[in-house]
Amino acid sequence: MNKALVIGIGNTLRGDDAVGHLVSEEVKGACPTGTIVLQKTGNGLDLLETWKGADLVIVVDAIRSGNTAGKIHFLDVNKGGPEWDLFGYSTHSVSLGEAIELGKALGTLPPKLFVCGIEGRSFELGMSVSAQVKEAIPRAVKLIVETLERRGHARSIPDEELNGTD
Amino acid sequence: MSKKEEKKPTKRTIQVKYLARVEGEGGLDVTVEGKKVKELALRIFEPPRFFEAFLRGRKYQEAPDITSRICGICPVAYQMSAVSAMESALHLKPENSIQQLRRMLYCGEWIESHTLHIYLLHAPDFLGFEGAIEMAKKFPEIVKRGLGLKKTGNSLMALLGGREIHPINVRVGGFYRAPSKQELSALVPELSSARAAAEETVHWVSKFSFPEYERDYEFVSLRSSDSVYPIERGQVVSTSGLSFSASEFDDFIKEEQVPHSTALHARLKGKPYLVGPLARFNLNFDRLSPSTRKLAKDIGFVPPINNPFKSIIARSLEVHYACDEALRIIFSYEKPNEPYSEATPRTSVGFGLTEAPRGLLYHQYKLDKDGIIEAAQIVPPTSQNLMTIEEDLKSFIEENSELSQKELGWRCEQLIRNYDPCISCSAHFLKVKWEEL
Repeated sequence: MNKALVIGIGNTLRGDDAVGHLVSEEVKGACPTGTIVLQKTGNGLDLLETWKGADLVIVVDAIRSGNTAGKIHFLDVNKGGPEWDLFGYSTHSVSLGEAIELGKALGTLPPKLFVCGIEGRSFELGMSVSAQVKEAIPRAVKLIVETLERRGHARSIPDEELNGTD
Repeated sequence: MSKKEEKKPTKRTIQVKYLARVEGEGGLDVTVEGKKVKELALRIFEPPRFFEAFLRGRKYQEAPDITSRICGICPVAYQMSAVSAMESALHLKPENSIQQLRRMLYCGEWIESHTLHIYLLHAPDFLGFEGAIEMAKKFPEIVKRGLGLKKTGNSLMALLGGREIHPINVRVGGFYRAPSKQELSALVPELSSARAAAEETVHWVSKFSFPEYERDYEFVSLRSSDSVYPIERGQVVSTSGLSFSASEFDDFIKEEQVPHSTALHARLKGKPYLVGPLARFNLNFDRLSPSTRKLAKDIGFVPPINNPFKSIIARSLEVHYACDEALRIIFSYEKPNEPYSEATPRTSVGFGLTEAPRGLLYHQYKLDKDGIIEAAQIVPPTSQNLMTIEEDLKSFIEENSELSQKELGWRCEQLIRNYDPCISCSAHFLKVKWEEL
């Protein structure tokens, strides 16, 4: 069986940056047997090592791109990435975006790599997660579990399905 | 145009708003008139972090874990200087095998930190790439070698420290748990491969093209009384022959505030000085392992080296040494009877000095009778190098004023990166005085 990995990244002490960990925690109880679920700080070089040998990887992280808080972006990295500055919140060493670009350059990206980015509102010190981000958690979990069940064979997901109709 | 106006020297400015490929937040402003640098400020605007203040009132046992949070790249250095200071305060002398384990943990950090800097932050400067990603596109196998080498540093940190970043196994008096010989021996194959990769790294960087630039530096590093290269212990020595112990640090080295920086600037007897790999190498060449020394001689790299751009070679030789030293320690290791010894709190002052990857790291603590910290002082390597970096920049710009603005800006950034500055560390300090100008 191919190796599937879900990596929640972020900092649980920086407001909405905790969402990667919160989503991955929920995924643990709902994902197909054999899926490995990890929580990391988001050090890019660590990620390059962590996903080595995995066939299907889903990284969950908070993002800031100026969209409404709670909006989910689900990206198939091998089909072209976004502007990676979106993910440059890490203050130390190599960010997720840089890790992905470095992995591309080195030819070491997993064959199926998705990033589930959830738009955050506040990244201030503290453990409170904003209401809109909390509301996005079940939607993100559903999307990740479904992708795992499909073994990464992504389908086109309408935005309304990702983010509700409101 | 009048003759008077014609004579007026051209004025130009070099501004690097945000320094790339350094740890933390800083920038550079330079004003040059003709060939003279009129103003130069290495701006450090990383917010101050007040570690020395919030150590007050904490128990002596907490200092290693609290101070390790100053930096994600060199947490071991903070832990080692903290335990060294606390043990000097409390008259605790851990047995030799504990010292060896600490040294090995520190080797892990040197390998990890140095390799990150060599491959991802500094080498792109020499090869004309914007950054590591562009370099990886052209030289993927070289970057993979660097990442593999760095991973060996992580393995050492994980085994001895309990995890790769911010180790949790270090305590005053020793370790919470000491590994078995068998556990350490399992690292031998990986370390042996890393040593070979480190040798290739030395040959690789030694072939880079280096700007012709030298200055007479006052190099400062530790030097130990036994025959090993300075890492976790030793007496401070300098090029001009100064020699002093950790308890005399404050007599020789003073820190001062400058308006353009949230980091303090340090002076040795009133003058700038240089700490880090180049200083250690120049002052301790005879203490390198025989194989690292031979490697240095093979590439013609022997003291005195006064070109700061060549610090990348010294750094790569130290990676080789750290692999060598970790292997030596594994082969001679005997598990300690107890992983740590207990201390008895007393009213005291303790001093600790170790060699962080970037240079000397000083800790001083004042404890009350119950072992509660009453005062703390931390002097990281980057704030000791800041004045020297500014002087390098000034003289380099004046010597190379014919270069284009773009080329000069590029070289200035490269020059700053010679020191692998850790701005996050240097802005940890306590005394902040904001003045409206």
